[in-house]
Amino acid sequence: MSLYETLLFFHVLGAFALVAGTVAIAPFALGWGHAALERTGAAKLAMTGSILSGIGAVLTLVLGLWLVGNVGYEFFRLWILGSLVFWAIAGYSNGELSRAARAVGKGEDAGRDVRVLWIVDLVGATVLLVLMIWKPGH
Amino acid sequence: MLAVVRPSAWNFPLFLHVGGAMALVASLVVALYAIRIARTRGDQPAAQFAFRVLWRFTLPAFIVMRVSAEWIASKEKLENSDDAWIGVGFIVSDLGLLLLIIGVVLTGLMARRAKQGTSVAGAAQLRAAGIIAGILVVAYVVTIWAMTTKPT
Repeated sequence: MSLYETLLFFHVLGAFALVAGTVAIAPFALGWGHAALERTGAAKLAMTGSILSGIGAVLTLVLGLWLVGNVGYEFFRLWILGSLVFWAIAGYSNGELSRAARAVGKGEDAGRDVRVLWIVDLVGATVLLVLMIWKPGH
Repeated sequence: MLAVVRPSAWNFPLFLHVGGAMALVASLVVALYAIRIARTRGDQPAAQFAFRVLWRFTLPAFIVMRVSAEWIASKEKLENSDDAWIGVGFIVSDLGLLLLIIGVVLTGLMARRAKQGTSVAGAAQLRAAGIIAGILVVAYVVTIWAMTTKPT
């Protein structure tokens, strides 16, 4: 397996982990399965999800930038700069969701509406995928 | 090595394929947790949630992934390819569907039993469904490796 293939595999695996983590936060943020998980169970799943998402975010960023250098892409391209912006937006939302879930886990539920944060997180991840596939401005 | 920029007509089916695969793996991760909760608590809401995750999210995500896989394969003229990565993709996807259907049926039966008032805590069927979900996650990681490194 070449360096390019290794980087690409772990970069894509990171993207899958990022999305899996985001989806795992959904029951907490949207109240899905409320009767099954209860608030603390959903918060526990959300905390696991945010860790998974965080690992995925680091893998996608570090290996993504490494790939840019390895392949020889120009850094100042719309799809690369746009990806960094949406990565930051998704990362911020994920961090806030993780904080809210941790608070609920500790029994300090402030009743914060995390639905919008989760939608921003999901939209950020979706736009990232769009940019990676269409590569506008390449 | 230079990455190849693909024809723009391939982008949408590829987006659906990768997006569907991401949703598939993500919903399986949630299903793993839901099945574990259902096995521990054994009540109707927990068993129903585990079933609904697989039925309403995992199965539709699989269909999106699989249909768009055929679409992109036909665009790339890879339907009859002997390349190993294509073979891995089709084998894992076809066997994966069989396992997924077994998982859906098992959790569905347990949800129905729980609805009738019988506790499904520690049920072997839920254990089997959890093992199936775990096997599928591992198999899909192997498939991600095959799809990205494309061994011939």
